[in-house]
Amino acid sequence: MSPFETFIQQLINGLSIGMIYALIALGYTMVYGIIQLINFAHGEIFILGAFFALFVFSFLGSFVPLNNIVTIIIMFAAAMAGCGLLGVIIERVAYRPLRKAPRLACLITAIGVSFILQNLMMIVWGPIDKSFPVFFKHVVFTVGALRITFMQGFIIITSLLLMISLHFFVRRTMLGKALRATSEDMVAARLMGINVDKVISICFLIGSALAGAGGVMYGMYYTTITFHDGYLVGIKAFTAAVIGGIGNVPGAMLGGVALGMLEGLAAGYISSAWKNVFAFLILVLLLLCWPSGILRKFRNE
Amino acid sequence: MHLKVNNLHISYGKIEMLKGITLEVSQGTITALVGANGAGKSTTLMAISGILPFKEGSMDIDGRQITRIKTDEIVAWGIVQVPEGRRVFRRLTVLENLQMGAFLRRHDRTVKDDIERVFSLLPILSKREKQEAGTLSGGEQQMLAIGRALLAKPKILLLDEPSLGLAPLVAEKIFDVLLKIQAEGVGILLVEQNARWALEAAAWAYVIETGKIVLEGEGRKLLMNTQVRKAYLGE
Repeated sequence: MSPFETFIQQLINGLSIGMIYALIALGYTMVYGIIQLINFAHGEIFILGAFFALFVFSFLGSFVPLNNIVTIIIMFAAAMAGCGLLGVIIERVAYRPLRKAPRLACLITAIGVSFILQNLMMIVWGPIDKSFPVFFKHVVFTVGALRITFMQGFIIITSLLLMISLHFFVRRTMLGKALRATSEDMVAARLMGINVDKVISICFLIGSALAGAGGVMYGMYYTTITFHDGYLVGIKAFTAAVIGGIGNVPGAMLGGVALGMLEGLAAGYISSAWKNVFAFLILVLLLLCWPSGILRKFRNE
Repeated sequence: MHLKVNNLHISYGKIEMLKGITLEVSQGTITALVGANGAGKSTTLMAISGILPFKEGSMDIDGRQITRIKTDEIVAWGIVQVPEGRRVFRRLTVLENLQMGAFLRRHDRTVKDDIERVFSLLPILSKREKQEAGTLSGGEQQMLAIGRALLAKPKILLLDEPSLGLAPLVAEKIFDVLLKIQAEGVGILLVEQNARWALEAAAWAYVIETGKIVLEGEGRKLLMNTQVRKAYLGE
């Protein structure tokens, strides 16, 4: 393998996890864009997606044998629906009553929700690693010296499809336009008759469903999950959102991919033990030097 | 449609912004609300639109009393506001802004025709259709804000300082548009720093001072009032 090929190979390795970061980062950035809240419980929602999928898998398995594709589709649907619903409930119960409170109150509440979810997961699924079903044989495609596994390809394509759907929703549908309008000027949106409470619920629904899908893919990729996995991955996805400029939807996608690739490079050239250090070094540096991210959000003067 | 606001009280913390505002607006007429900065003009409009909750008072729409106002219901009733500072959605295109005005009618097939009608009333918007609203000039943004509100099919339009910050020629264009809208049967409650124009056009006008209506009468008669001339026309 030439040095250049090694480099590209590390980028490919980073790309698949980067896509998962991007899916989660979208939820952070959409919620921040609309109510200026960093939803610290989002990481837990993400890993709950994996647990929900695992739950339906064992549930289904005890009744009927299904083929893999149907099983996977049901797992994704369950995770996305479960997480979406949970996100809406959390907003309704924990954040909406604080809509007019100082922003810090909301932030602390979000951290509290994160702890509650983490401990609930520990009680329900136990403190040890749960193993995730393996659906795909370890198939590797090679292009020259470059290798990409079937699983990596699956993650990249599924994530891309989800992101394209989101893009279509936000750009083309009336609800998506209302979402953008509300995140730009909530009062003006209300004056148009837009029910912003509903828009905020939809925002949580979509963001959490995307995180849930990310959770299933995370489980499939790493094959074990634990109750505290959401915490670390959540903060990394948050970093990705900050890289792209928090509140910026394309930025979150780009930030996730960039962070994943950077981790891939760090793991490949230094040591995989150091990849977290790099991720958080970037977060600290960005917050210090470039807090508005690489794609700066266009602001009203 | 006839809108009557009764004895509206609004407070920010301990400060009383509105101390009992009573006013009426009818379809097809212009009603002006004049007063100094901070007198409570915008607060009044925001209260009617249901953005600011009021602790005392009520509203009558065609004799039906409403005490708890929800903004989307008010818009559905046909009372639509063009807020101060235009507040167009800068990152949405002109067309998307107009569609947001028709948000409550989003399943209504006649919206497309209404957009065409707004384009013929405000032709500059059709030229800018695909542009982001943030790239428009101040006057164009004001036109867009008005067009956006028209797409909600208002019976009564609440206009907050539509000529603020615009060159006199542009302001005049805006005023012409308002007269056309009135001629089509829409009622207008106009808050305007150009008191002369507002009073000339208004069938009825209210003068507001520190949260209270201190004077009311036919617009042209108020224009003759020495107090009004001194305070708002700089004479």
